[in-house]
Amino acid sequence: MTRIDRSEQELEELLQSAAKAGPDPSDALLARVMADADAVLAERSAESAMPVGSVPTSASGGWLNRLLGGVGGWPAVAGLATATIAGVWIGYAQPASLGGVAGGLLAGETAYDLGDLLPDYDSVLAGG
Amino acid sequence: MTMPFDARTEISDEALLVAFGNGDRRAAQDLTRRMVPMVLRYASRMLGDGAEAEDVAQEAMLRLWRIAPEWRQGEAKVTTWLYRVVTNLCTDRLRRRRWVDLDGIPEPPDGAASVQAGLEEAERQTALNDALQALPERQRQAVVLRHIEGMANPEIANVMEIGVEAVESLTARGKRALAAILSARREELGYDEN
Repeated sequence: MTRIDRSEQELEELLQSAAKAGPDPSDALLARVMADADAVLAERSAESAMPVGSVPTSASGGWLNRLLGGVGGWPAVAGLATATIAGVWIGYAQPASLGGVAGGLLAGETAYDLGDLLPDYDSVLAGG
Repeated sequence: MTMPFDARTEISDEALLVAFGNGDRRAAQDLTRRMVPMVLRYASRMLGDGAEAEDVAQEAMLRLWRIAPEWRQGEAKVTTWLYRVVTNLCTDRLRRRRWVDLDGIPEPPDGAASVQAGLEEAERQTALNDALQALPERQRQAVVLRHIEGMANPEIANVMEIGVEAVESLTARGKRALAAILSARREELGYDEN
């Protein structure tokens, strides 16, 4: 038997015994692997436990976001809200300066007829 | 009346994985007992480093847990899938090693240091590991899968994502190289010279 043949035979034997041998996993490794499995299970059950309403909520969030995008985002909404509140406040508070203007024109017992509001054509006819 | 030692040993790997995907924790325990020794053994042979092999084993199992709900039955064997994941993880680590620390690759020990007749089997196994680490990565994968893990060539081809002929070639070259390396250390390993 040549040296090469012997080496190959010895290698075969070594490989065969290597197949039976091998490091045994430590308890710490097995615990780490199981902890990962538990974490994955917990993640999954947390996902499946989400409330049913959560999906429509997120859908309405999308609708709201689209609307916001259409008017120019949150800064534009803030401007709109300010204008709305100012309008409501003016309507209820009736500042004195506005009262003065309106009072001069509309206040009093004077009743207006339709004819009072029509233009006067007398000067035009007289000139004819 | 005695119960069978473990009635669940008859359940296939795939059935256990599907059960885990449906939330069965005991299935994970069974899979851990079955798969971790195999995964750790292969990673150790590939990396030659126990701590790194443990990290790879944990990462491979984590990927298995994550894929469980989407596992397509009948498409691949769980073991083949795991071997492939471990192969890729080991390849990544070996590449990083090459870049980070060129001196980090274990060298075969100096023969003169341990020359003595009648070395224990454990020392021969260490020599085999050293020789495996000296092989090119793909040859090492093929030899370990074929001759230590006992896989058939078509399955190895599946794991390594190459053709069966390429597997045969890698295995043959790897084994020749191993025999040459160990042949140079026969005396040191206590083999008879005559």
